[in-house]
Amino acid sequence: MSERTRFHLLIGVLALVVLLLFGLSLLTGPAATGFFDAFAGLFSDDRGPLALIMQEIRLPRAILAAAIGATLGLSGAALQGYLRNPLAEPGLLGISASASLGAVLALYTGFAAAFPLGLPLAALAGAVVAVLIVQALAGLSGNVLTIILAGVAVSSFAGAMTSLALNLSPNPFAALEIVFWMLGSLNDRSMTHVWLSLPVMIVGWAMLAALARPLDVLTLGEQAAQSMGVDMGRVRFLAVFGTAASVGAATAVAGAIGFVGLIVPHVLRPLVGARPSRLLPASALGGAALLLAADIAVRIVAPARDLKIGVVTALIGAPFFLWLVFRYRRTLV
Amino acid sequence: MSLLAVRDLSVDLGKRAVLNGIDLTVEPGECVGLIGPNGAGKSTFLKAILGQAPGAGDIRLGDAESRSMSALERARIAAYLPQEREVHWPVSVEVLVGLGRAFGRSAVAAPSAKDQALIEAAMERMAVTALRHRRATELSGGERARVLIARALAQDTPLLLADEPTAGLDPSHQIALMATFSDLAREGRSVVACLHEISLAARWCDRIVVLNEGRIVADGPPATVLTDELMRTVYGVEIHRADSAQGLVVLPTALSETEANDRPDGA
Repeated sequence: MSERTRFHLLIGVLALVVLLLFGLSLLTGPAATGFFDAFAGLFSDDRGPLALIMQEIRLPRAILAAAIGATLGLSGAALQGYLRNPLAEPGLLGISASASLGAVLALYTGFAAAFPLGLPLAALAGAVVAVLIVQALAGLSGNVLTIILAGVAVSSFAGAMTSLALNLSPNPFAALEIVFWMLGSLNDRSMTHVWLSLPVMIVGWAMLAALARPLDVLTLGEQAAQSMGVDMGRVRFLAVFGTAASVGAATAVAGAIGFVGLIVPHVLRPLVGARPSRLLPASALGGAALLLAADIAVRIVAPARDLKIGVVTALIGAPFFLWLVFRYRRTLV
Repeated sequence: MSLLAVRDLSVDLGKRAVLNGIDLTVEPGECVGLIGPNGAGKSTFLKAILGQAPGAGDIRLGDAESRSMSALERARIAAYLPQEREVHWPVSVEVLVGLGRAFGRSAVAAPSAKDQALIEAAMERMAVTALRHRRATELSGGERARVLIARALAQDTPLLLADEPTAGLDPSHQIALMATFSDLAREGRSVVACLHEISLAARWCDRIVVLNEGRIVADGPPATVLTDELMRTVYGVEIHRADSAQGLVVLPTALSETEANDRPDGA
């Protein structure tokens, strides 16, 4: 079997897994539904309870889980390729931290309660501010180290401001609301959230997908890549703004969900022969599958406790990461 | 028409003038050895040709001014082998060499028959065909160097700029590489290679350009350039020089008495 066929097979299998988990996600929830009834409800025009549950609660939840998972997987793979660092992840550029800060400020000031889309819009505004600061700090040279440092600086500052908001929060309930939001969740999201975030995410995906070929060539380092026709300014623009659009929109509706963007590219890299271009689609599908599975798990494991999805991905992700480090150590001579 | 024409090139990095008033013309079919002590500006010179170092002056690649060309247009005329042999992901050797054909093609498209033929020929030339399924990050230093040179050859450009291509290669691969450069020149391509092995430069290059402190101090055939006097003033070394059946032999043998005292690090 040629390398190419193997890659197509991998993409096919991953796509199938995403499709199955998407279906399973639609069938998971407190209201017991039969398999056929559920899918009939999805497409029915009557405003009965089953149709409402399927169309207004479960469908947006499944769409968001798939789209946000794809965003995290894709942006993680793209950033690891761009920064040539296997530890890079979507949060590295300060986008998630700043989007969280925007959301926290909306909760803190009451802007979120005053207006239904106040919270996601504030979070998106936070992401935009972060990307502009990172871009301005990194300057025209586009040095990779400068970008990482700028991202760390922005992350730290956003984290500090978030702590300040918690510290000064008017009452314990406000603080609790902020903390719960930051854990990351897909509960009670509506189609409005989908319409708000999905188009922005798709723009981000398109920008990151355009990085496929340049990322392959960057395997040889920046100097060689430039000599082979890669425009580093354009690559940086696509990487930074593609991540900002997709991860900003994802964080705006679901909070900061960790580890997916770090772990998924790691796991899939050996299966695509380590080629950065092939890792992009594989990682997007892998991220979608992982987040759909995690979102199904929180509903099955503790239906009454409102377990947050960000907690689950961290619980799966951190030990897994330890194992990766252990395995990596063994390969060193 | 010359392949590369540099006129009055100066490059300042920070406050230091790294290159100063460089004039150089390379015609098709020349194998040029660029020599000079560490810090003479050899690598900066190659980067400036590729538009990767800021500089004043005129650089023409083919029939256009280098800085007005897009990165892609430059990539069709000049292939470049950087001094740092970076390979960041454990991709297979075959894929790595194939990157030499990657420009201007979509990431999903399979390589064309012509691309595949060029990739095979480049691997054959650098004797890395047997390594094709190995991971590029797990090769020895010399193997990796050869694979990266094959990548540059696969780019199939009229001009090859190589920064210390022979460093870390064993003698047989050094000679094989220099013979390859010489063959490329005979095919009408041009090679400009920064070299520290004076003996290889003397034996295989048609032309030696000597850079010292940012200026070209000598330019011509090895026999006229590589004199006792020049080696003493530029490198501070004495040489053994002889003519053999295979060509000129130049071997640095000892530090020059006076120069050695002038060098701050005593090297």
